[in-house]
Amino acid sequence: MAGFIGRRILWGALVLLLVAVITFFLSRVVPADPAAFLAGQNASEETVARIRAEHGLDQPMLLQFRDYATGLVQGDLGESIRTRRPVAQDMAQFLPATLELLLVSFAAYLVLSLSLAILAVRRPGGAMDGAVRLFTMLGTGIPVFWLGMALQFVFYYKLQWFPLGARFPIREIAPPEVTGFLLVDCLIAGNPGAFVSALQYIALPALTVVLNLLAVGTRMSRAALLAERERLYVRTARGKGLSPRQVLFGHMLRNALSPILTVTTIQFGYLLSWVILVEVIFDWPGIGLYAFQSFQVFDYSPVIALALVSTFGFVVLNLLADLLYPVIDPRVEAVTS
Amino acid sequence: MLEVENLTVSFSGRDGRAVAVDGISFSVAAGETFVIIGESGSGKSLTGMAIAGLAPEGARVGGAIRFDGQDVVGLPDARMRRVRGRQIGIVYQDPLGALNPVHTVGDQIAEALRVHGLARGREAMARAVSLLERVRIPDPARVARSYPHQISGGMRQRAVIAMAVACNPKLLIADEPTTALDVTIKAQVLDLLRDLKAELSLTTLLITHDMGVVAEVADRILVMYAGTVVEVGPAASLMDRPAHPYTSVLLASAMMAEAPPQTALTVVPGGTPPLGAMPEGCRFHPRCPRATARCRAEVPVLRGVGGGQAACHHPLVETPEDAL
Repeated sequence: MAGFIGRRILWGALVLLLVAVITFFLSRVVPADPAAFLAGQNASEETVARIRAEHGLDQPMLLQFRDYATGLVQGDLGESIRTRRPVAQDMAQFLPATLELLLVSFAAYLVLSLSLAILAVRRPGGAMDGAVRLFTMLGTGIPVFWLGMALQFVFYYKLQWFPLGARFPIREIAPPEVTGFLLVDCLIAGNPGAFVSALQYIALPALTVVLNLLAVGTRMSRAALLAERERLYVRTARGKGLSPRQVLFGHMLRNALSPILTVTTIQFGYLLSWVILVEVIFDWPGIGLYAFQSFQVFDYSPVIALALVSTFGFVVLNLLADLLYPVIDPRVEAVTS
Repeated sequence: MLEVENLTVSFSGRDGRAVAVDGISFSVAAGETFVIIGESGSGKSLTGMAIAGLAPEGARVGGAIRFDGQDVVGLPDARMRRVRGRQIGIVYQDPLGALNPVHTVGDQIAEALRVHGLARGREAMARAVSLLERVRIPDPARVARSYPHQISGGMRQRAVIAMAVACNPKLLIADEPTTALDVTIKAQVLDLLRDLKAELSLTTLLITHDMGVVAEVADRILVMYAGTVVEVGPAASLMDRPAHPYTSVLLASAMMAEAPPQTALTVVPGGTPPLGAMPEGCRFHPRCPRATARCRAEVPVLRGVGGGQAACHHPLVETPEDAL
């Protein structure tokens, strides 16, 4: 088991290294000059050259990479040309907003996809099942960027039910920062009013992130549960005198969790990318928006940092999933040990 | 104890209804071992599952099944659940499939006790261990902690049997309990079933396709063919002097196992007719060596022949014993 985890961590480190190499060289082969951009339209050749030298952009590419990689292993993600601050510092500032959106969406995804799937399979072919299937069909087809704009138009512009463009109302006093997660900080401060305000701000972005994933996830969970209905152990459980509910929750659900976990891991990858996209659409002040704004001025270090952070998140989740399989299904034990 | 009257099990398909069990009747007396024998597709397992209220989804069950004086056909599921597992224990054909792979063997046995309120928590688990001991599993505490994939096929079937008898049921339905097991284990499981029957004064309904199994345990035998009863009677007379040609060929093919090598193999040509295309008259006539024009036209009814009853126009044993 320890060997398995060790091997997995090594693999994860290798993946991170590859992502660093690829994103670094991609950013350098793009035919754009951040120094020229930074210097402004009327800057002289000398100014641009000076700025280029300041940021080490005049060095050979391999030398630049050596410097970048040396910093990287020491936790230095480089410096942002735009904010003139260390990228690590910027990331630390914007990461909680992203994590909050990510975790709220992920929790909503897990709870809702499982609940809808369970409601659907209680009576396959019934009205609830039909409604769930219709939802999954519609939800799968809706593009995230379109949905984000549609939700903004309806709930912000027309109905004015939900606010937009920040994490918290400007006119209200934000709770003292403890965890960086606003919802949690509001609760720590014992301020339910602020909690509701924060919830209103996160509702639309989270809904946008989750809806498309939810459709696919619900369909997969429903299929996994339906497959379990046919298994012989279900008849045995009924033969013992268990009610349909007891059979579903006590027997089928745990068996269906392995395929559901597989789908969840894949969905988490999409979740990461949708969060970044939605941050841009909703002006959500997280690392996605930060990287997007940096990218517009050819400030590459934040973009590479974003790629590394999201890769890290995906690697960690995959490791967690691999550790969960044997917990869910004892037959997997032999594979991991 | 158990009276089955005109039981039908049918499925609706694209070409109308397919009748898998076509109006069979029999009764099982308390304490006896009643065997239903037939080829695959004869409807024997479906009959057993219908009695337990476990007919597959989409099946329509008709007729009457009186268990302990109560008709269980059409009984609401909530009421049937109190009978199932509690009054009727079931042993299944494929013990690996029948056990839930993600729960320990002990948990699955204890659950049977818990759901009927017979034991709780640690006590249920302790009783599960003693049940495993009762079905002669060595080191029952360890097996109780094991998952189904960690124990042998024979042990799995013993665990399923322990689960079936956990609540001390009156009736044990054993659906092909030895089919998935190899020969030595098969004998042990049959011995176990016989001993449990005596210890717990069980009534047993054994469903099988294997005449060898029947000979060891049966009090009475019912032979099914294509959803109907072809012969029913006391085990001894039915096996000594079968009245129906089908019973006779079944017995002959079972004897082959004990016959000296080089003996020509007797086989029944053909197979069970498909549900949608039942032959007119006697359903066995296309495969029957004794078939006549009458067999092709007229459906035979069960009547007293030999020691029991047979549905045949030309039985091998003509007069009923009690008429002698």
